[in-house]
Amino acid sequence: MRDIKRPRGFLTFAQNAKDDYLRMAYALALSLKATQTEPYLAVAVTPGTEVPDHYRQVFDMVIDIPWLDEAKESGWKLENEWKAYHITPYVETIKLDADMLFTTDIADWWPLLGMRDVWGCDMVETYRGEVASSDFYRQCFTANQLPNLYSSFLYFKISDFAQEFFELSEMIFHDWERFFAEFLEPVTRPSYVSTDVAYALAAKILGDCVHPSLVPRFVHMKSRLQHWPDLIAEDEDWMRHAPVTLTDDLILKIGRYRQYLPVHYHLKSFLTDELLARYERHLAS
Amino acid sequence: MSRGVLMHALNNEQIDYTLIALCNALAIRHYLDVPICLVTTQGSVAWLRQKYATLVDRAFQQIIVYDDRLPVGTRRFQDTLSTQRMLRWSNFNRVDSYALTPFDETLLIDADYLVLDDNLKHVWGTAHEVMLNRDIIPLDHGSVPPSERWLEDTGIQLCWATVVYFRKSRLAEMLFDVARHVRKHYAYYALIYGYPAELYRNDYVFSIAVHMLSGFTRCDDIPTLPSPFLFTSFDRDELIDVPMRGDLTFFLNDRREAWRFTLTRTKDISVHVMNKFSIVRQADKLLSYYA
Repeated sequence: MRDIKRPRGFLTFAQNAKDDYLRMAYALALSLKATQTEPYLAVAVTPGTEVPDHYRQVFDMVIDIPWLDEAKESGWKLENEWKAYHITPYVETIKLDADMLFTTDIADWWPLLGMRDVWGCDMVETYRGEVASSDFYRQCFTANQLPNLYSSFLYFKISDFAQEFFELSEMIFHDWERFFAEFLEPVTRPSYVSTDVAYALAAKILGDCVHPSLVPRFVHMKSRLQHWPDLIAEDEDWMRHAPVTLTDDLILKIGRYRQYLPVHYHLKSFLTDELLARYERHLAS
Repeated sequence: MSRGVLMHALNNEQIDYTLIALCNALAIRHYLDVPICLVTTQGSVAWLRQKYATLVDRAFQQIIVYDDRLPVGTRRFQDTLSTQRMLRWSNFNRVDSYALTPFDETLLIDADYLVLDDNLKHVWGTAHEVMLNRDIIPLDHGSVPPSERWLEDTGIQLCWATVVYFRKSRLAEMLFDVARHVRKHYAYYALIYGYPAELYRNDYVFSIAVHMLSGFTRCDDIPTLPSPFLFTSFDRDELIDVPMRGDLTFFLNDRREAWRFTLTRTKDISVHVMNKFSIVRQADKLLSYYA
């Protein structure tokens, strides 16, 4: 199945539903091109997806998601993510969510990440550079002592251990109700399968998937993580409270803070045509 | 390498800042044993000399009369819960301290930060060019109001200009230059940073300057003072007694239950006393211990 093209690269899934994930993947690819020494992004799409030519020019590879489309009936389109290991064209891969942007080169992260077979990001920051301490969205993780793994940024390399991790993830995705009933306490047990919980459960069963370190980290823009007063934090539209600026030379500021880490903007309205155009202009010049 | 303390004190129609500065200067001499320079106006120092002429000369090594003030604003001053007064507020020239200081190493201290320990001695000779604090601890050890932690709820972290250490250096010069720039365009930066433009606060000005000099990131590039927080009593609290040297007694107002006051004593720690009226009321006692 796998056709290795390069030693290192990024991979994301972009299956369009109500949101245009392909467009987000395009923006992600532009931001990688603008910042990374190794800016290669492979994008996994639903077979038959029409990918515009100017998208294809910045994607390193467009991969049709193999086997059945397990996310066909799903709004959130996460059910194919266990296939990442089997389709990646890279020896070492960072699997990303499409709704992210890179702001600086993370070339020096690769050698560190390469010391492990699987490395899940288990610490995220606010846009103000604080470690996000709230478990508002992760009660299940706290209650079950799951590794605080964020699937939005997952490193793996072709190896027996990574294969085992993804095979176990596949089993969890396919039989998640049974796994959740077996391993997660009932009060906070999710009523749907998410990549975060599936990967975290696999990481807990196998161990050795998250490692204490200053990197990898990214800025997670969910409102409840920002250490804001409750009245503000309950509004998921964080852009109403923290202004965003992107300069011509692609310095991204959120709430007056310059961003150095990858940013998981999460809010789809963040990705305006103007923002995309700014990336395109910068790269064209 | 000269070292000393710089204080600004400009009286308004009701608050005798120079008297507060005098009390504090005598305490600083006792604990830190460094010369103190007062920046004030002709009228303020003349008023102080009327009653405390000999003490003034003993407390201050140098007095800089600095009348080149920006327009005076007004702000609400609170004296416990019972009294609020709209008074003149003249505190615009702290950002000129770099140019004004006669020292190579300077501790810029607010007059109402009562120095009652020798903790600040550790700043002298440090490798850092600038130091200032980002955190305060209320005397009741309760939570700090968001308005005293951030310029706005979702904005940048507040830095406290109450105590600033700086050495004559490139970084310190830049910090004060940027602070002067922010002062000049205070209303514009209020729009950008979301603080209330009608209230001039040096804390805001320095916070923005530090934020800018830190590359618009968290301001860890400029370290904190040896004690990384300022013990603080708010203007709703009252300094009710100074029973002995280094000893302060307060009535602390509970922010959530305004009717509740707690009797509290501090000993041998420096305290930022925001209720200036209550310091003036205790000035004679402070002078009696340190004069």
